[in-house]
Amino acid sequence: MRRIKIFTVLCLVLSVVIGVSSVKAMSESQLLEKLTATYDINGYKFQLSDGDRVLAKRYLDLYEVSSAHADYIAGEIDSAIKDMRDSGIKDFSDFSKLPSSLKEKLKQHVLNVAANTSIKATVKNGKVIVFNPDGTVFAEIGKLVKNTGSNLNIIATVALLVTAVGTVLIVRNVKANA
Amino acid sequence: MHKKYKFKGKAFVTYVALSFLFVCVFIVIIYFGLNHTIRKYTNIINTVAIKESKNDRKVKFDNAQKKMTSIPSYGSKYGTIKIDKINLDLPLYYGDNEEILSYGIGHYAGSYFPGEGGSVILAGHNDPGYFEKILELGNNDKIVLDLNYGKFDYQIYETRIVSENDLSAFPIQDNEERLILYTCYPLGVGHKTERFVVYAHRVGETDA
Repeated sequence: MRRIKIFTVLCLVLSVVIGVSSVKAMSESQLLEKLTATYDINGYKFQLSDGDRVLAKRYLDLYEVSSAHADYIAGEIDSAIKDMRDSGIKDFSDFSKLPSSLKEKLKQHVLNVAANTSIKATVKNGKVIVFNPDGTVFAEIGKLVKNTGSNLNIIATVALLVTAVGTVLIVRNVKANA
Repeated sequence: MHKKYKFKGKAFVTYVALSFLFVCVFIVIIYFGLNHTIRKYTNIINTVAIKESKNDRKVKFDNAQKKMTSIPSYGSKYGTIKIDKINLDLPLYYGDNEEILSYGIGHYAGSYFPGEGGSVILAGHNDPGYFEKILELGNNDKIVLDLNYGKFDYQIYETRIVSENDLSAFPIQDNEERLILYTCYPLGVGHKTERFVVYAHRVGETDA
């Protein structure tokens, strides 16, 4: 009886080991392919921008991601795409215009990855921020062309307010001296 | 009873002119004199992640492989950009969010690093002391990036004005090392829908 038990346990362990090893674990290069693939979502061709591809490749070049974590990330990508398809939305060009329920779901996928893998990331003010393993910021994911106009709006406004006050004072002095 | 003041023609004109002059002088002082200082201190108050003068990560470049093996942390300074023709010498930061651009010139993280053989995209505000004068640049002018891991020389081969939505003007490729500088166009306060873009090739065999 005891022998049978041991044999059963051994078979069980072996089947688990064989089962696990037969599952094809995702490598970093496969993860990169998955990240940079084009997905058809309700007719909308969705893919990372060229800049985001460079970032994804750079991260995977610099840091190791285990097969288990790569599998987990791939699963989250699949879930995110499913959420996007289920939403029925056909235009994903502007994240800020997506319904808040979908935005929350997508944000949750990022947070799941951060919580369950070595890749640390967060979502702040609608931007995904990815961290280096040492806790410093790796990159903020954002659009390529930034607004580089003179950002003196606030200063100009303050200057105008101050000069308006100055003008009032001058006029008052004029009145007082009149 | 209050005595009602009546403006006399000459006095009115004088005081309106004085007020106008006051407004103009004040704006000019703020704009040209205190712009950088005010912006700098305003941002120090708001700063969360920016490390202005030091980079706490080692920046390493593999010369044989032509790629970075350790990159600066986002928001840290990792060199300077120098353009003699317009007396420009500014700090260069890794990253280009709003906060970073208020300190100096920002390197779009989704582009390549100098030496890697791809597009290097740098953004700067069009304010005085920043990228305002890149509008004066033309073909054959030189740009130098003096970085933590090497010195890189570039020569301008084209300047263009493009729409902010024209992403083809900002190609990210790794076939050829190309430096791309841009700033908002035309100059002035407010949102601009165009960008002035400078394209330069890497020249010489500067050590990395």
